[in-house]
Amino acid sequence: MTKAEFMAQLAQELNDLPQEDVQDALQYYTEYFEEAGPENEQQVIADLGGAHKVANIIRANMGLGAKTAEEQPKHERYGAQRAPYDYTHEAQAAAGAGASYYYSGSAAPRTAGAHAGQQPGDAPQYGTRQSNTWVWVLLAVVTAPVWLGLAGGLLGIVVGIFAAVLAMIVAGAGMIAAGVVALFGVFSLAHLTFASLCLYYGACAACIGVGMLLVMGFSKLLQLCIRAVGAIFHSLQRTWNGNRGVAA
Amino acid sequence: MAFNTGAALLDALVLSVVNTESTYGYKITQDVRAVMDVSESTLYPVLRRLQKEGFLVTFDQEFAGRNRRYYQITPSGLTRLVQYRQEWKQYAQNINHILVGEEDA
Repeated sequence: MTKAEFMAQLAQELNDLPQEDVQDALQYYTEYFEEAGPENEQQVIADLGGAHKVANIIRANMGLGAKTAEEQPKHERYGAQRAPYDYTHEAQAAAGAGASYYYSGSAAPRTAGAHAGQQPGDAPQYGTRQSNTWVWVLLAVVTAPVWLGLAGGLLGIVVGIFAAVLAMIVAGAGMIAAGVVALFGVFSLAHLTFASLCLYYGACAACIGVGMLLVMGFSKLLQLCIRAVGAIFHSLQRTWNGNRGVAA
Repeated sequence: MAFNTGAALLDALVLSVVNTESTYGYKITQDVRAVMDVSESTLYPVLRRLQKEGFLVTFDQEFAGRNRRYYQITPSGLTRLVQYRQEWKQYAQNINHILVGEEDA
């Protein structure tokens, strides 16, 4: 390939670009050859990687796809085997991806972290946080049978305690009621001896007393339980809000 | 070189080279390639884009009986370069801190 062939092929491969862009590119490469000197023509073409590669890189940066492989002369395909930097352009060109690799939102992943507007440290931290969240979500889903069982068990225990405490209070109330009813004589007491009567009233009083103790004691316990559950919920909420605060 | 070098660094290097003196495409390519492993065909789109973004302007001057298109930095290009330099210093400092250790950081 000669310089003239290079320029002709470049012009042909860029022919669907705005005239101004085509002329600018052609002038640039014409001068480029002149600066390198006529004796280095072949070397320059080799270093540039051929007209097809030059055209594709320009097209990629203008947001246009590469011309299809059928249009690519076979003897030029060695062109892509150079610096890793080019693969971004080549890949974009091949995919027909968006505009300039640097300012467009669809920039190549490799350059995204180096985007001008960001502090150097920002991008990696953001990425880590994102992936952490995903790991947690995934972990939560995978371990669902375990923690659902545990949570259910804990809930059961809490509900059980409440039920027991409430039952004791109800029992206490029942004992008071029974004592009072027995005290004021549903039954006929005429046939009882004095000693039996004493025992009977004593039993009634004891029943009322034990019932009051049960009601008072377990009401206190119920209050403590409610406060404890409230505290647990509060701390859970704070932990959740705390985590969200970090993430936001 | 083993280390990947991104598009922003390439932009910064080009702006810096042009800021030192107004110069032409071939020279810019050689200067940048002296320190960064990019293919020669990569430089033209970068120059063209920096020009379209208003960071560089071109002027033509005759040299040895032919035309040479020079690239010159604009005030907004200079602002961008200053920004790049600050970001680079911070970046290099962070990298050194971990990679080289305290003595060079």
